[in-house]
Amino acid sequence: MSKRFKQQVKQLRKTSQLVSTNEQSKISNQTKENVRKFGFLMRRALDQGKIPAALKNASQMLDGLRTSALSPKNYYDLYMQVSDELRYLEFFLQEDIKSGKSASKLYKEVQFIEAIVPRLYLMITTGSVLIKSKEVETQDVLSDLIEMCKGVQHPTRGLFLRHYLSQMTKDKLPDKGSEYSTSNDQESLSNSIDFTIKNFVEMNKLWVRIAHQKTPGNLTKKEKEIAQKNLDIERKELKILVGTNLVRLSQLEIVTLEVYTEKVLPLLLEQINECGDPIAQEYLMEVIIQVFSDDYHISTLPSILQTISKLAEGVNIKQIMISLINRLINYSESNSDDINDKEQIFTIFSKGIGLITKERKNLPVKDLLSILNSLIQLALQLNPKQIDYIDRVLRFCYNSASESGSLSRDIIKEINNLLTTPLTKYKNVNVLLEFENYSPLIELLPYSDRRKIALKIIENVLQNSTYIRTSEKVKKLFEYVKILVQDEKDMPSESEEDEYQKTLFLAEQDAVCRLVHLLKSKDLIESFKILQVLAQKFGNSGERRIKHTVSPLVFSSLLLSFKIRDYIEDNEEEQYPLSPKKIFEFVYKIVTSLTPLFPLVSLKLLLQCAQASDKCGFEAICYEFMTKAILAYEEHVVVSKVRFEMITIISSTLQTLRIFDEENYSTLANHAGGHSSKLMVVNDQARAVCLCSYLFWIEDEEEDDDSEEDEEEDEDKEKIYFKDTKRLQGCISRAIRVAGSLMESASMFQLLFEILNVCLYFLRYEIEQINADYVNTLLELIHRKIEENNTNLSELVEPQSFNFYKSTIKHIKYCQSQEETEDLFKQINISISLDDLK
Amino acid sequence: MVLILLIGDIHIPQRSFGIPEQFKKLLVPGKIKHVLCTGNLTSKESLEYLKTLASEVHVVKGNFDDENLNFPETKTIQLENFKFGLCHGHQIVPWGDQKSLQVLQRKMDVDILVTGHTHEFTAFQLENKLFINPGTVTGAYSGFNDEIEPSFVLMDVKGSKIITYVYQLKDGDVSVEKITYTKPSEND
Repeated sequence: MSKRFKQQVKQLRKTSQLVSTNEQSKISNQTKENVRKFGFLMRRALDQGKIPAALKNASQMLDGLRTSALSPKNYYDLYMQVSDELRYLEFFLQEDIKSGKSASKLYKEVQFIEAIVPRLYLMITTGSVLIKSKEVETQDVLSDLIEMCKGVQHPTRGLFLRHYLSQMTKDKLPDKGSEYSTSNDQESLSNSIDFTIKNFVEMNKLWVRIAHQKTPGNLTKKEKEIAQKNLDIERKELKILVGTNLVRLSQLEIVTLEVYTEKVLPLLLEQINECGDPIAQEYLMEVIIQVFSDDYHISTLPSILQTISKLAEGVNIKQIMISLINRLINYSESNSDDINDKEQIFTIFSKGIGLITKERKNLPVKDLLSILNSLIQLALQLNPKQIDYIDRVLRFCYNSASESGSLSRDIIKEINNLLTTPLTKYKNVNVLLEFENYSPLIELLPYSDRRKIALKIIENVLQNSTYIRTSEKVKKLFEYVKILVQDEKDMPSESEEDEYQKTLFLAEQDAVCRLVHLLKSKDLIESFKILQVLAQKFGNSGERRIKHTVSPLVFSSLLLSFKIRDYIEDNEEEQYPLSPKKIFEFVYKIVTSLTPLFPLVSLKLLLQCAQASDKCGFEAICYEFMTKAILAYEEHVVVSKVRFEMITIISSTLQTLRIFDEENYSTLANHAGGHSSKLMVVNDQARAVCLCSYLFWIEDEEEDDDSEEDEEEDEDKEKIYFKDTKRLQGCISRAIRVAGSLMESASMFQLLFEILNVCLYFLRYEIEQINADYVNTLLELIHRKIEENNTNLSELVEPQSFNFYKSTIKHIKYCQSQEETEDLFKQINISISLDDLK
Repeated sequence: MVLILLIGDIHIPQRSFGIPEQFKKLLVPGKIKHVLCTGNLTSKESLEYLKTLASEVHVVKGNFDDENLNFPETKTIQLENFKFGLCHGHQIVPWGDQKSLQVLQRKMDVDILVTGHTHEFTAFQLENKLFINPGTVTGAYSGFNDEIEPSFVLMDVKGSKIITYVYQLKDGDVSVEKITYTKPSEND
């Protein structure tokens, strides 16, 4: 049977053609069976010490590797099985040599084997034993083997044979410190390099030729295509066999930077260039980039880039370039100081990429942009201050992308990456603002991408609390994010917006509002300029946006007015060109223009402005703000509940203002009081009117620094800002009257208790009209109202209200017991109230 | 032991770009049981942020809060042996006045009154009641005074005893102050 099989194999070898899959598995199984059989015989002969017989069996076993019928994958399986057996043989022979046999003799003996494949496998096996025996010079054996291997030119057989050679010699190559180097001079050591490169070159050639193996002749066209495709796949799986040689080279100590630059790399690149095979080129470039060290790459960048530019059409240049750049990025992360000429690297890359775009006209724009993005990452890593360089790369990106006509989704994605890379790296938008070519790139993007990048930019500012301190930079920033503060030609109309887009819009405006607080200079004049820029941008942004953005603008302005006031106070001698007044005029224009559109927002802001102008000492301006607030109330606030809220906030703001002369204050207080008493809901009216009582007795809280010295002088002069006790009492009496008219008793009592507390508040000021008698009258009124209902107070009101009254009476008792309040409170008669509370 | 956060007058985005990082590092989720917020948040995001800190978040309405968020004007919360009253404070005239705050404390019938609005931390006791204003956590602009230091308050409540920690940001550094308050017995 074995004889017939041998003939079969012989015949197949002649055709040098692969056979069909079914037949292959049949042949493969038979061959494997043979390997097992002769392998067994070989081991038995070895165990019996019969070396010649063992070698003969080994040769018979190796006959299986002479086939041409098997696909690379099937051949690989067979090869693995054979090399297991050969390892046993090598081990045994080595032991034999140790016991005194001559390795040279053994090496000569196997050369008499007739068939070349078995002969060479056994020569390599015994050659390895010979090197180990050190009977002859290592390099002589290596030279001999590498020469002899030339005898096998069939791609699969040759490739595996040479792989076997490489495996068997890997630990025996002469190198610095290796036990197999007989002399340490450079020349003899470089034999290892020559040997490895020669083997690499030959293996690569064989590997490439596998692609050209013939598929079986009896196949249909489609079957042939599939077979060819499978062959390619299997061939790719063998790439590691070729790559091993490069790994070996990178491990040799004698491959110094100089040797690598002068000798190794040129030879490797020459082979890559010559073979012209895309699969091989792509793989080998990748291996070179991965296995040799980074500083070697830095020294040889120009030739690597040049080779890349000349690679075959089908090679994925993008992946190779990104691998190369990523290696350098990783290297510079930890060894940035070791890189001497960083600018040189940029120049080389610029030239290299120029060459690539020139040589490879059909390099897709998306790939080019992707490469450039990696390059920017490298530049940012090597020297983040290299603004010019990165800006030039961005320009190049812009040109490449804009020349490509309408942008594909892939290109858009790359542009987004290009914009995001420096943003996330710098964590400081100020640096980004130095670019000339950043916003043109944004402009290339479609609407929704522009929105996203704008929001990202602002979020970056917020996350890093980056202050932007000049009006010029603020202007530039708003070029980048202008989509958030203006309508764009390509935006969908508001009615087309879905829920998501509405939420997004709010999130964007929210971000813009927050941003405002980071746009300020330490120089107040510059700060004002910034606010003017913002006012201009926001002013043209449309109502929908202004509604949100006006508030931060106004608050920032008011804060600035305080700062200007303080600066002027601290630097009296200086003629400062800016006054808080200018700021107030600025905000006045903004806020009043918005009153018809957003009356409530505007009203609240006017009151804030009034407070600030009061603090800065501008009476006329403050009066104007208050007037405008009251007018806004009169003209625009109609909802009853809101009217109550707004008039109370007007009154309580007025209560804090101290700048007015008596007449102006009186006028404003009259308006507040008048509007309060006109509220429709009785509860609201009583409360709002009662609140106005506080407008008519205001102590001046401001403590002068020299108050202690002047104490005696001031003693007679009451520290009162404004008082009108008659109107104060009028408010309280009116509140009591209105409350008393309420039909619903729980509300009525609650209101009366509140008013009672207001009376107690004023008691300490010893006002003629609001005294203990007045309080007594109110307590009696409450008592009478309870009696009228013929039941207990606890039945009439909520427990909380009951407790309110109870603790108010307790408070009176407390004040009666305290020395400083005793005189004012002792006249209050709480006995009936205590009865009411039982 | 219950840890309570008193916080308020956040005013993001109208008056501030964010809660100071130094505070954010201190305010970690999982430790605080209740958040008492004095209002003026003034955005949904601020509310969401508070909700990340504790499961129980109590909020009252400030004068700049959105109507649609439907916060109440006042809220009372019973925690351990204390009844807390929460109110923004713009409704109390004169603003920040101790005697007027006392009226609100009586009206709400609470042991501890927590208010905001003035953007200035204050804590005082009157007639055995405790009054606390945690100030503004963002150091937001206020028309009252222009030297505003961001602040918030943490309260450690245990039975009838409260230890109050006041966190203030002064020139970029966080300072902590401790105040102890014990509830007097009812027969006092």
